Amino acid sequence: MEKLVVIILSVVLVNNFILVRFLGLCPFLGVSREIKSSVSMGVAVIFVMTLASICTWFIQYYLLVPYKVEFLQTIVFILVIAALVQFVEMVIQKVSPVLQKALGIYLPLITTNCAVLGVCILNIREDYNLLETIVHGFGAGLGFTLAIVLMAGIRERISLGKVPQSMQGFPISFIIACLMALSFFGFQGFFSHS
Amino acid sequence: MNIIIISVFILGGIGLLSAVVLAIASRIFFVQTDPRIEEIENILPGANCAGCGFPSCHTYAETIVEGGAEPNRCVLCAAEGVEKISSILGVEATSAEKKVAAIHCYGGKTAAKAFEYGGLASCRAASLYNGGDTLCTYSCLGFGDCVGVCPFGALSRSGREAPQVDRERCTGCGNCVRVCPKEVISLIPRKGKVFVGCNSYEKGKIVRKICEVGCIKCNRCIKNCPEDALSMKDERVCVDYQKCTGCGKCIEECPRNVIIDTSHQQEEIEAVNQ
Repeated sequence: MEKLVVIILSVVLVNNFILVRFLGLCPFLGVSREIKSSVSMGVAVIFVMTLASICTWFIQYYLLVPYKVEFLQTIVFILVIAALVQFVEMVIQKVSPVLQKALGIYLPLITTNCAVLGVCILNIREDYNLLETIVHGFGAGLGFTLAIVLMAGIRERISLGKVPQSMQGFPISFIIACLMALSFFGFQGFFSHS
Repeated sequence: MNIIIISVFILGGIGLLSAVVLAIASRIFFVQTDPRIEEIENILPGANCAGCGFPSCHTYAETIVEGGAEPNRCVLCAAEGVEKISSILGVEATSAEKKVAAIHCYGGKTAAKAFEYGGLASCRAASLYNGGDTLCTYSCLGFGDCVGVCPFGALSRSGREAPQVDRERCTGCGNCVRVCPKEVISLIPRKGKVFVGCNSYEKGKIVRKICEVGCIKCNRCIKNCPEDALSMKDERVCVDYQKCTGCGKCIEECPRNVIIDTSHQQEEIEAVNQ
């Protein structure tokens, strides 16, 4: 139990996927103009990361390890995640049009996202069991949501402010991201392992 | 050698399995969409200007098919477009009147200031401080929120004067009307030849004190209009575009050049653009 709490805290704050590990930067800058859409994106990421973690864990330990082909990890994971997201999208489209409207356009965006692949590979590298894998995947999504919502909040304010012309748009966003990453750097060393 | 074969089989197998699962899923979870939605969307301009009152052309097309909206609400669609949509739906086409934005104020520069405003350069922000820094309560604040919101680049401005509408570019989507905190902008019929360049509800005496170019309610335009198209409503001159023939008599009569000739204004804008 204690280990699960440590995993979730460390992946949300100490090793935040965006601000510390620098994974998933494209949606972080692309979908952080408004808080509303960034929340939808965050929820979609939490959903996909948890699901992908579970699937790839089974693939790793019931397919790749028994046949001794762990070197295929990256390509197999990409394939499985892409197929999984497609499948989930179809199911959602049929089952819940409301959820589809909320997540719809964000799901395909995450199909080949490095953060999703990153969380799956880290699960294996850290030797997590299934429960820890689920918690780690969920926590990673949570950390992503935290970072992107904070970013969107700041960018909403910035869009009203006076920004020098040459700094408008992406340049100022990169500076914000940089300062946020610096502040998250303060969490370093909270937990010795993970 | 063995390992190569195994990896090929595993990767190929997973690929094949996902393909089969996705193919089956696409059959099971097939969602029927109305083909008319796509047809209508192809006719719509795809500018997503929200002039019809819907956030995107796609949602508007959906609502048309569901019967929730008339096909003539698109401000960009020409009459033929509306006819095509109507024929897809099998209903009779009725075209809506084409409109264009008009800014009823010269604004900012000429109106005296009530106080020094140093905040955010935005009309919406400025209007929160006692209705803005101009002495005239109804004046354009001139920060150009409407210029920023126009999806067609039809509005332009210089300094803190009121923005001007380029009628060639303006489609009458009404985004500027919705964003203006002072309600200075309105949509007038495209065929309209004149509009009143003052938004003030104040009595003439007060306008004379605070603004050099405001309407002082002398009523000369109303008295001299041969078509009886002008009238005074709530201390403001209104043009009845059903009656107005665009003779220009009111423009000649107005002592303060408050009534604006749209064609003349358009020439000025084009001269500036060049």
